[in-house]
Amino acid sequence: METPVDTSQIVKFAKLDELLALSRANSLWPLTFGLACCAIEMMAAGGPRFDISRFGAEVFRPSPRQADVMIVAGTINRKMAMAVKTLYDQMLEPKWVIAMGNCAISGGPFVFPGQYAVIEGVDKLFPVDIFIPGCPPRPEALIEGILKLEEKLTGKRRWPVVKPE
Amino acid sequence: MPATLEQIREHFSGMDGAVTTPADHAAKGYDLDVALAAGGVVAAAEYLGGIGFSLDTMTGVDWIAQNEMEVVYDYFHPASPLRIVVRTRVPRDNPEVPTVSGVFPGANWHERETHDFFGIRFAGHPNLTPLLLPEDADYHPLRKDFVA
Repeated sequence: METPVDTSQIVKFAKLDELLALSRANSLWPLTFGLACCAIEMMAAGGPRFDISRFGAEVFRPSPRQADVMIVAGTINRKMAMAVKTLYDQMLEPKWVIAMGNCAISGGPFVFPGQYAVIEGVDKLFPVDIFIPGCPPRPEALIEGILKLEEKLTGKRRWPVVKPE
Repeated sequence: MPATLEQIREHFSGMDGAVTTPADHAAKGYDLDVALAAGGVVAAAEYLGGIGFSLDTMTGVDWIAQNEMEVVYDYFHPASPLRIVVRTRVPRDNPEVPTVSGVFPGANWHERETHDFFGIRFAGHPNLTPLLLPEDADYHPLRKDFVA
């Protein structure tokens, strides 16, 4: 006589939405969109010291068709704005946008009365999910932004918030 | 053998409308300042290119009080420590200077940038479209009377 198998050990049930959210959150593939200095910090976050590969997000895709999240790292000039919008439109749903750095949030240090060159914030072009302030934000801040995006997707946070002393 | 400063100065003094002013390299960063008429910049570029000078950079200046615009070319010689500045002034209402991109192809983008920001036209330039400003820009931001 076979011992009855306890199915709860081998079969789990969950809502499809939650499963999809979990898999999307753990494999956010960024589009390489470094425009200015913040790109250096984004590259540092992709390197071994800070390492976003442990969140599944190290695979920067050169093609917008293969990317989930567009990390706008840097200043958006008027001349570049059309290219940014085109790339955003070419990304497939579901897609998210992280505005990294002060320039992407609101034009940064280049905003003054009479400025002619800079788009004051990427949310003037398309909707943004996560804003990461800083000039430039540290790689840890970018990682926190990715964790916040994961929390936005799944509703749960991967690690507890670190309280500064 | 690179030409001496005296030879260069003599050559430019021969060009009509040229005013040469030697300068202290330590104080100003260049050895000779040559002010020419706009028609002579290509000949100056050909002469300096012929004796081994290269174009370092070029830029524009808006002399709004004198109703003129100036184009400044910085030349340097890689072997000797000489640096030479060539300037030319044009009327502000219709600024036009012949292009030196035939002599120094690297000047192509410098002239596009100068045109973007000052509105100075470079006659004979193969592609005077905006380099840094948006393609449909019709303003010249570095003019002194520019208002965004």
